[in-house]
Amino acid sequence: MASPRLHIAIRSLSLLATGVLAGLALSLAVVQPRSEAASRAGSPRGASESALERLEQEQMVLSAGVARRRATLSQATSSPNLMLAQLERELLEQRTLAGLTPLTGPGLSITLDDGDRPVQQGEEPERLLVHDYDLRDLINALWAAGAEAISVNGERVSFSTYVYCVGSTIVVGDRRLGPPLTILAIGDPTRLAWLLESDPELAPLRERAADRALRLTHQAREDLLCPAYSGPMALHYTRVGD
Amino acid sequence: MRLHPSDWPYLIWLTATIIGSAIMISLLGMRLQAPPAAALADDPAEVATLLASNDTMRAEIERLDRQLASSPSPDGGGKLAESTEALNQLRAVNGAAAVTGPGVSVEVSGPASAANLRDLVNELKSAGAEALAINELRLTLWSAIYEGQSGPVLDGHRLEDPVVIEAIGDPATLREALLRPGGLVPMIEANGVALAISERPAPNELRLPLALQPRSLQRARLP
Repeated sequence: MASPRLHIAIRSLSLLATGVLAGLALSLAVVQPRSEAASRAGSPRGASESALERLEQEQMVLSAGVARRRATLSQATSSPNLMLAQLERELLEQRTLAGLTPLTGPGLSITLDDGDRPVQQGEEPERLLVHDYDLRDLINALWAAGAEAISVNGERVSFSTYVYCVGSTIVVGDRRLGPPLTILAIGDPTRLAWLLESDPELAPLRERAADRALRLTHQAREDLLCPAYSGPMALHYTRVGD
Repeated sequence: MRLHPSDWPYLIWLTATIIGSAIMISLLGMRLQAPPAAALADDPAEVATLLASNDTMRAEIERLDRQLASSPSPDGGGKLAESTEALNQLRAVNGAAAVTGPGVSVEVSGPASAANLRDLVNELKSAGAEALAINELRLTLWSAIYEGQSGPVLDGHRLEDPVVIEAIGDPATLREALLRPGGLVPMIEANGVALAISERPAPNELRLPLALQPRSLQRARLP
């Protein structure tokens, strides 16, 4: 049988152990939520994604690409005609995304025109003209607001489209256009209208328009028609794959 | 005050609890005070694994495309090979495929605005750039560069300084377009932004990744 002294020692040690554990648990319960909140507050992930996240996103896209091709190849052996039909479907989808087909849908019809006030004393007349950067800013903001197709005076905007001033005209792609510019943007009309009226990204354009008396107006429409892009799209230097 | 022997167990337990709390608080404190960069940096091993895995998948996609192009065409002609080739070209245009080629690399350091970057992209397109990426993010038709709270943002991704624009096309033409006297580069440099333009003439020197956010049409439809 254990001596009374040993009994006291065991009891003291067990008290010590349970006390330390209670302290650990108590402080963890109190401090942990705050430490997590502090970590979240300091995290830059909301502002900028890490390389890891970007690679994970890329992996998902690549993985979908592998799966799609394997499905097509599997059809190549079982039903070649079906496979050809699937290729044609994907071809049409990619042609549509590239702007090579006309598209219709709801959106905004936007008019951007030169200033309509007289030139003031000492003012350069060209200040009252619509410039290439006005149109570039507008197109950029429309894409950011989710536009799905854009045309300018009947010229469909494609990946290779650039916007330049040449004299008093604006070159869009390969075409010289004169104001007024009519920009058709297919997308959510409410969101696109908010962009034009309130989005901070377009504040500089709105200020420039007010300062130079440019006319920037828009109208929601349900039946816009953006024609197909008809300019060149051949790749001379680009090769697909690694 | 004199303690009664029956108070000792409580005293021991209380002391032990305080010691336990102190240990836990100091452990948590050490974790919180770790340098943010170290705490938030990606795990290099995980990044390397993902890089290798993505390379393998890209190679697999190329292999499958070759296999698809050489599959016997049901019409006995070259329809299949023709469609596959056209599809690959369009995927390249739309950013739905990784691409390689010669071109230029433009390093932009300093207080470049979103408008500066948009202008540079526009200039490169006018000089015939066929594919573009900024900080390894592929540009598509729908890409937008705008001002974020702490600098330029491309399609929701903050562009860290220095911003590197890579453009596939004729290297000399692209470079000359940027450097022509009175052109865009001197104008941007006047605002304290440094630009370093280098030609990348080798056929596979530039490798642009595919776009991370493929576009789908929600409201637009074929007439």
